[in-house]
Amino acid sequence: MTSSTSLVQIEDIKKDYTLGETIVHALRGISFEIMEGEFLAILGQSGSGKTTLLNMLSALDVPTSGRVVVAGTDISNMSRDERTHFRRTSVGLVFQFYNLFPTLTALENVEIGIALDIKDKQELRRRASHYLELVGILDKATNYPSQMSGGEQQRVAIARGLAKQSPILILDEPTGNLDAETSDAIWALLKELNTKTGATIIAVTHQISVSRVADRSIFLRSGKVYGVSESNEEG
Amino acid sequence: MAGTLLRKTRKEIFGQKGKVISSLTLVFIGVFCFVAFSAMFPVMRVSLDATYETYASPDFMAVAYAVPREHISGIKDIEGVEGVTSRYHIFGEASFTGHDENPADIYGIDPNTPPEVFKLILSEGTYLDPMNNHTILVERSFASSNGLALGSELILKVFGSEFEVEVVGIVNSIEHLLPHRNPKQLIHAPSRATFSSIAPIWIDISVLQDFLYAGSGEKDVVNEILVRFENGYNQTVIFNHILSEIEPYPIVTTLETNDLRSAELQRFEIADEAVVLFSGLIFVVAVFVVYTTVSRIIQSNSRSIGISKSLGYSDAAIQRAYLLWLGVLALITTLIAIPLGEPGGQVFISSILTMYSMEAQTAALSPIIYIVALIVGPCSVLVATYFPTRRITGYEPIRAIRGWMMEKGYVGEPILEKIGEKAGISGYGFKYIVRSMSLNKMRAALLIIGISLGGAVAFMGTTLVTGYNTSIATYMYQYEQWDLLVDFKQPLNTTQVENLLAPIEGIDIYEPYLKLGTTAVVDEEERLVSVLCLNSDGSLHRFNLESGRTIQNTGEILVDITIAEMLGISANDAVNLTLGNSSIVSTVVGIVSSPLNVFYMEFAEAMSYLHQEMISGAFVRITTGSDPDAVADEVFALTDVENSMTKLQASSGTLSETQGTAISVGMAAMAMILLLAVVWNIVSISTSERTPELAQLEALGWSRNMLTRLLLVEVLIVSCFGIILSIPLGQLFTGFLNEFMKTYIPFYEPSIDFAMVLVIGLLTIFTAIIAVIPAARKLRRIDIDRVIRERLMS
Repeated sequence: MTSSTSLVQIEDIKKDYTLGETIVHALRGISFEIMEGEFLAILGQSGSGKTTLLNMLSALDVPTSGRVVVAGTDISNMSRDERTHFRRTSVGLVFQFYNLFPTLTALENVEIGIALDIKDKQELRRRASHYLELVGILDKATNYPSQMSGGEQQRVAIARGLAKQSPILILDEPTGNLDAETSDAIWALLKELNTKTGATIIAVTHQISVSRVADRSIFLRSGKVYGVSESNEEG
Repeated sequence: MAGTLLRKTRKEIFGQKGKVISSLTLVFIGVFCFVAFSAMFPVMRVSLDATYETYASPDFMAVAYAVPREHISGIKDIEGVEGVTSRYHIFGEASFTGHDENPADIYGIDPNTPPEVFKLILSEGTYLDPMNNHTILVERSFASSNGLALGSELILKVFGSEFEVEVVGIVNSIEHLLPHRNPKQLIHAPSRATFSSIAPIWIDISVLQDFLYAGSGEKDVVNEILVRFENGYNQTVIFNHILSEIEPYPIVTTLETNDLRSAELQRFEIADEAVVLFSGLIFVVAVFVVYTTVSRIIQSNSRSIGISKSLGYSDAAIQRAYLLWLGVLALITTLIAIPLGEPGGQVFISSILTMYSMEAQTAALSPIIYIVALIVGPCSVLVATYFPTRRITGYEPIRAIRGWMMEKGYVGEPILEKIGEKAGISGYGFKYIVRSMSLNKMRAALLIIGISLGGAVAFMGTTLVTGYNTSIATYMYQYEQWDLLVDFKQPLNTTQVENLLAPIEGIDIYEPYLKLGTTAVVDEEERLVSVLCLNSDGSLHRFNLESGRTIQNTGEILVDITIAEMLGISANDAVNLTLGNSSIVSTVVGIVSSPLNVFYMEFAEAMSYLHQEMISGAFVRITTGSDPDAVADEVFALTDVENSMTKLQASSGTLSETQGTAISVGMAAMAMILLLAVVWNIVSISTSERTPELAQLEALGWSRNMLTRLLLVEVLIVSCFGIILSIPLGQLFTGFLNEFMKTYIPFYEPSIDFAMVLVIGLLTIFTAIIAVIPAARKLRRIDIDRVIRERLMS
């Protein structure tokens, strides 16, 4: 599904944090491109800077220097409100701890992610149901998060991210809280969705096994790109 | 093990330091107010007593029509009499820079000898100049608030005549603070002088008498006789001697110690109850706020509590640790507030007393107050802590260890959401807010109660002001059908009254009345009372009966409810009244709410007991189309008329617009501060609790303005409920206030001004929105990434 068109350009981005009197260099100059429809895995150990990098990609944060260009738009100099708008229109986000609203059902949790843009109630419900079905938990549509397992909740979160039909789906440790079996199932699902929908998927994880399903894996260490590996479907 | 748990609990509590401090601040305010107010009233009582001594307050006062001064010269020789002052007191007008025809109490006194009773204490200048009878003395607080100083020139208007006077002395006096007024002038307009800014002025008595008896009549007369007794004498015996000295000159009314001093003290008893109510209100708010704070602490530490339980700590041990710490903090708060409250209250009351030329005395505070404060302060916190800490039993260790949610995190579709859907409101913002409210019903309820308390107090303030101002007008409209009230200088007979009033074209009909001060024997005790004799079945009056019926036969009387309560009289009681030389036994057939503290008797019956006809005034109805003011002026110009007042003047509001606004604004401000404290605290806490969810919404693309709107929608929803609840709550508070107000105006009825209620409603919503600002500002600074990563949502 990967095309030859570059969707995201990351140009020498650096990110410094101040912790007390210490400056932490979380990212030390990273550059790479992400192709349209690519399934990219960003791997690294704790403290390698992978989550910081993901924050830049999802416009949750801005780099100290360098540029992040998504579909021709530089998102590294946007205001907070502009970044909010960008997230609303251009990316779907999935977090490690699912971040579902406990007072809303699975279906409603998906709907709330797209309700800002879809005013027609029937269309809203149809699309949310479609993605719940896609991730295989339509039968739990009326369940509340506390009535579902971790894997089920993560599927809802993925459905919410996908339902936006944004060109990019960004996932932060989507299986970090799940057992190995469920974790494998989620990665397989993501791969399937990548193939079916053509969405660009960027996943941050510390699970090396992901490189088996990703088109490409980028390894980070101490805020720098340590290595890149192309996918081997068979491997 | 217990020490470790206590240390851990302490850290959990102090982790929410700001909220704990703000909650305990309210407890501090509650204790402080309770002790401070409780300390104020003993000081006020003792200070008033001392002030009565300083100014030689009278024990007896007779208001007569006119008594020659020479005739009562024997009063000072009565055994047990310490001092006597006689004077001529009229109600006039004073014009000076910036003030035109300001109402004035004008006392004609002897310019050679300062009064022995109701002493005037010179603050500036000199006493009246006997050689210049156009000099006056002015009361200090009135002078200072109206820019009058030594040398200021005023124009006084009495009996239609104007003359210039100059201020030569500024005096401290307590007369204007006391409940009594010249009742002869205040028939059916009793409260006109209660709060109005009336100028107290003292002038050479001869000036007034020149105008009063222009061309005819005896000049050296007085209409007020004030007597102070020595301690230890039988007051009733002295009363009778004084009345004998005044005879045969008729008396309008008499006032005794009880009327002159104790009425104020009785109001303190009710004020004491109001203090408890007010402090209680603060404690209620404090309990709410402590409850939400502790709920927040417990909820944010739920996982830590679950883990503690997995380590073997019991529910009771964990709960005890919270109760212990918060109880200790509340005790410390109380122990700080108590010693500050007492001097605080005393300083406050001292400044008030100083404003009124009184010196604050010291008075010990009852130990019961300390004990109550010591119990209520910590107990309010313990009660507010106990209930949220009970949730601990539901925190399962297994959930804590696995990092799962510790509490039920979902609700069904609440009724409010269904109503919203039917009304076409079905956005996810609304859905999220109403479900959050439904999930945390207690928090929503506390918000609603906080808002309704604020609204109710403000509501009470407006009903007080409008009720105060409309009660007399409403009473007059319902029960008095005359247009003009006429007082004669001396009692006249029927022929004289007819000759006097018949020539006035504008008069349609009139009914005579007589007001007499006399004695009554009630339960074998002789009391000084006043009787108003009028035509009870005429067309110009109706009675506002509290119980019983109106007069139908001879030997029947009605009594005002204030007097009835004071003397312990109820319907069907027999009262032995002295009228002229007759002693008559009358039956009280009805108790009425009226503007005057008097007995009511049929005019014709009263005349039959007197040696001669005595008419002290008349209620007049003017002909249709006549101008009441013009007729009043025409009547006032008659030689025998002392006063002529239109119904509009008699019904005029007792609070000036400025005073009414001040009370309304003061009550509303107090209410809104309460509301602000509650909403601020609860919304801040609820926003903190929901920060991960709100951050998640922002991550999903909701703008910060949209998130701020969510908070506003929530506050608007609870404000609507709060305002609705504030109406019955306000009525409840107003009911408490009625008891107090009825001591001033027996027929006081709270009045609702719907425009003011609307204003209060809007003010409540506005204040609630203001209270959301800190939470909204905090919301706008959320670090989404950090919040989402560090805080679990489900």
